[in-house]
Amino acid sequence: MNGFRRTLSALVRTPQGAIGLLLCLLLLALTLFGPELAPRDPEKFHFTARFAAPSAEFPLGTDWYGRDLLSRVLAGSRSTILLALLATFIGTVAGAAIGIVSGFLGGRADEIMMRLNDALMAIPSLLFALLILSVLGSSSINAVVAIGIAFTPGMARIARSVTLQAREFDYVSAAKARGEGTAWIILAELLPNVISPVIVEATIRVAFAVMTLATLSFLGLGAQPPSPEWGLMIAEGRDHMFRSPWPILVPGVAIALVAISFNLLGDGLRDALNPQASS
Amino acid sequence: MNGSTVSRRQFLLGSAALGVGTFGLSSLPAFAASAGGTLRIGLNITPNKLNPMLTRLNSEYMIAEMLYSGLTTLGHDMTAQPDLATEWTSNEDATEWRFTLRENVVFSNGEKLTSADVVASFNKLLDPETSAPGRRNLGPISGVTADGDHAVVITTESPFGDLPVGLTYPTAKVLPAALIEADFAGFDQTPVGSGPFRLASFKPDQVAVLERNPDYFIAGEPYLDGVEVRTFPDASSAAAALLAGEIDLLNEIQPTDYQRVADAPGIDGLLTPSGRFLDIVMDNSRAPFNDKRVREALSLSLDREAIVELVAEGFGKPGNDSPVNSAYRYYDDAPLKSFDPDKARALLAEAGYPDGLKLELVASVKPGYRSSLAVVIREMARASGFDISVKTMDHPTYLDQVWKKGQFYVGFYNMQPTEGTIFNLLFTSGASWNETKWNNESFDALISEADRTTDTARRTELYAEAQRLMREDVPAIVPCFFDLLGAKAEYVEGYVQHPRGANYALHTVSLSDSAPTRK
Repeated sequence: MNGFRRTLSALVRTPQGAIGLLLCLLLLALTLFGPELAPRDPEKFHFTARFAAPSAEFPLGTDWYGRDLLSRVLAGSRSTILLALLATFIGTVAGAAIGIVSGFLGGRADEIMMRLNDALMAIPSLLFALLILSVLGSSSINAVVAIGIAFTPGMARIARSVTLQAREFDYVSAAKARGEGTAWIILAELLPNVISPVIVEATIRVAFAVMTLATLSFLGLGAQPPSPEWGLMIAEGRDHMFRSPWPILVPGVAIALVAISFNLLGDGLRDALNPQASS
Repeated sequence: MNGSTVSRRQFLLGSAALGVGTFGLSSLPAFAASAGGTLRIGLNITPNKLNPMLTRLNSEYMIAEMLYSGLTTLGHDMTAQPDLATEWTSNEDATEWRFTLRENVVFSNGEKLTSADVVASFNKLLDPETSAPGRRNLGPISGVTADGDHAVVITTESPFGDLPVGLTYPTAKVLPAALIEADFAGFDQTPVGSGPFRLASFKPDQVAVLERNPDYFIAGEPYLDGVEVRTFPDASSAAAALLAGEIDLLNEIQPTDYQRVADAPGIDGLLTPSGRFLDIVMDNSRAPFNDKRVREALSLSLDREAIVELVAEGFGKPGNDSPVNSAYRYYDDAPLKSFDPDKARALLAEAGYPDGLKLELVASVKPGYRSSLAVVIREMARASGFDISVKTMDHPTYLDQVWKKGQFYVGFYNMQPTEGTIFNLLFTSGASWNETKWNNESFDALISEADRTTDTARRTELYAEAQRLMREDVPAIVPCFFDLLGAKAEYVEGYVQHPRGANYALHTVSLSDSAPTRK
């Protein structure tokens, strides 16, 4: 608890950390309450107000079916951000587990796991996700799983390299000398000491996950119409770009905002969690 | 704007006809005149199959039409026009037809085309093992025999007045008999035909380059030196290429783009009313769609006028659940089906779904308005208790996994030359693409009688009854017909959009002197 408070105060002392934290909290609130805050039904057509520019009635304008863009962006925030967080979570947990175990075991086991890992890392993550989706079929949840799996190798590499340093410390040797089991050493001794770089990496990955999800939906492999997922909104709006820019602009700005927020938070966390930088 | 495009074309057509009438045929070349140049056409659905007997897509029809010839070709008024056959006659009851062939036709491998090639081609086409699309659309052909070197006799099982029109089906092309026998699979890679152009190179997904056939059987044609058919990843990039001057002709423009492209300087918009339609295909043999009340409920849930506006951007006409509209000869006019969610809800409850019905509607992403229709239908049908989720799919996957197999999906079809063709293609029990599995015996009987009837009044009755049956029984929902939308650069001359959407007649197109690709 004390460590958490210290990290938090270090975080808000840097400008990027403070802004990132504030924006991320706002986005979190949006994710929790966004769909309820939507003033209108995000799927309702308004025949008389197609391609409307922002007005008092439709604060961010409407799309080609006359659907309220503000409501759609708010309703879509939950699926877009929550799914990105979920995808990152899957990738982080799986990657950290593989990396720590591999690093701790060392020797031949480490060699085998890491060479396999390297082979997977050689495939760009978007391509890897496309590959997984072509096997699983396209849906939002499959896209999340695909991104999660695609993020795992990178995360495993980072966790392993930190573990390799940590396992040389005396407290690990002491634990081994005491005769502690492997599971206990990993969970109680290693994990707390390697977790901070993993958290920093995960935060920055959230921004990537939002963009990758949007890309997959844009390619027709993630969310399905008429879902207000942001990437899909852009893909559909492209056909109508020349009649009204709002259907693309609104979700586009929203995606950019999320990416910026999580990047700022990640930068802030990196400084806050780094003992050298905080002194 | 649209009106002016149509009237301008009608004016051109009218003046061309006048020219022929007044000065005789010799003045025609002077009218079309300037030969040479390369026409660049944009497509956004990749042609995959080069074998002309196996083509299924408009893009494939276009290339096949340039490389091969059939006995007859389809005129703009949906009548049969000479292609390889110059004239045809039938016996009294239209069961035996004699087609006279041109004598100056040479295949691209140098062989002369004779009646033996025609006979071999039709035998191959009608062989169920070839599984040529539209095999049943040609007519109830029972035999094709040679009558000398330059005539064939086609007999039909029953009287069939539409035979010359039936033979215009895009897959009915004539191939060299020797190659059909020796290496039919070879037509997938190497075309050997007698069309106005020859294939120079073909890169799937990129470009097909065709060059003028110097031995083409109509002297002076084609006017162009060559044609480049370029494939674009999507409709909007194809439209952008036309605006940028990278291509000269686009025969498919999305309704959302049409007005913008047609208004651009140096470009003529092309708009032709047509019987092209989108339909909601339901598998009538399986629950829940084996219950007529469910189909009727969905049919009543749709505001068809609004669909034309939202899906076709107003460039179309509402449909009445029959694939025949006013562009056809035997159209049976009926008041537009009403939008009645309350009645739909009641029907759904009666059918055993008082709490609504959950369904998944599959839509291919090409053309783009398939998924628009799916989304619009989902939203409209919500009011009457349907909970429809939309699943989009890329086009090859859709063709492979859903088309003709799926339970509930969005279909998209061209106008056909006759009522008989469209019904026998999609809705009779023996239809080539019997995707609804409606298998309605009284409907089959009506269509087969109409096929056999030559009396116009009787045919009108029969086709009217068939359309009424479709409106009432709703084997598929046909909510919307589309105008054909395209655009060309002003310097492209002689191109007239065909309402059928599968004929292009590119050998009659020429480029004026201001075209950038004229040498």
